[in-house]
Amino acid sequence: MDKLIDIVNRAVADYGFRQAVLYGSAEIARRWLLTDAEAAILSGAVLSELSALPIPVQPADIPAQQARISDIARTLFFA
Amino acid sequence: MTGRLEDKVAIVTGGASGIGRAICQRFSREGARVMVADRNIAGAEETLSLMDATPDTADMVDVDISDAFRVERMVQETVSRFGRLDVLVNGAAILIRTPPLVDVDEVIWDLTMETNVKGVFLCCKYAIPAMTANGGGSIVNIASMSGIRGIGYSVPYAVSKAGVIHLTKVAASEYTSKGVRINCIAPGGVDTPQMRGSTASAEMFSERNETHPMGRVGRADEIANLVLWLASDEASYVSGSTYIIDGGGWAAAN
Repeated sequence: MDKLIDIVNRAVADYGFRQAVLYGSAEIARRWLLTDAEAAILSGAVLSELSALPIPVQPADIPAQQARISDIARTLFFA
Repeated sequence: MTGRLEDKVAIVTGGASGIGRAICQRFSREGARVMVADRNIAGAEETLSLMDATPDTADMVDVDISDAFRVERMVQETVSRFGRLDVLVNGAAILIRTPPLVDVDEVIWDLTMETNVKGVFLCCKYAIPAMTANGGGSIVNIASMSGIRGIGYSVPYAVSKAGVIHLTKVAASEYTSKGVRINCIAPGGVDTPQMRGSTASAEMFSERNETHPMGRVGRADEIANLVLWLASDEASYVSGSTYIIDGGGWAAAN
């Protein structure tokens, strides 16, 4: 789960990395050694949230967005 | 002037947004048939709509340029669709901001190199035979001022763009004699989603405009103008060159 949260945090903070996730989530999952369950969350709910973020997320908003999307990922993972 | 690419067929990677999109639009206006190549399908579709193209004059292909099979298929589909290949613009790239070198993650280094360097290599590898089969062509690689200056916001990106500049020189030394001109451009800051996204805040973006000698960063259509010239027969004696296009930014910094 930590790896998925790491991806979320990077993707919120950095638009370039976000693009890599948005258009290559399977590749990112492979490189970060995500489990199948984590990869499914990444390519589903997380991707949907990331695609709706502003470009870029303003620095003051980054922690809140990271926490919000991480919570969504955790909730799905432990459901 | 129009028709500067009349009867030519072009592939533009990274055509879904920013500089790549502006190039697709400009090429289309100049009479080229254009294959918009990108992983961002929604963006590529939007580019097609902005080009006001018909199915006879433009199409799109979903491609990950770091995947040899898909790159080869992209070239095959283009030739199959439009009959030939005359121009390749290597515009697809990723820019991930990083901390200083010691703290750069290996995975970010690999990801950047595979897209920005290997991707350009693969596109050239499969496009060049298609061009020489028809008498030649023109390749324009989009590098960056990051590949020339020691700019410290992304070590992998800067090194990857320096690699593109050098790949251009080596490839030109090998294929100019076979009729394929290969050139490179190194844009400075350009107002694109990628640049806005890689600039930490709106305030910093405004600051980049204010500190530039022209009072602004470049526009994507201004970059497309240079790419158009290099792609066209007007640049018939140009190969192996790298053109800085930064509105005088580097000159002022020096």
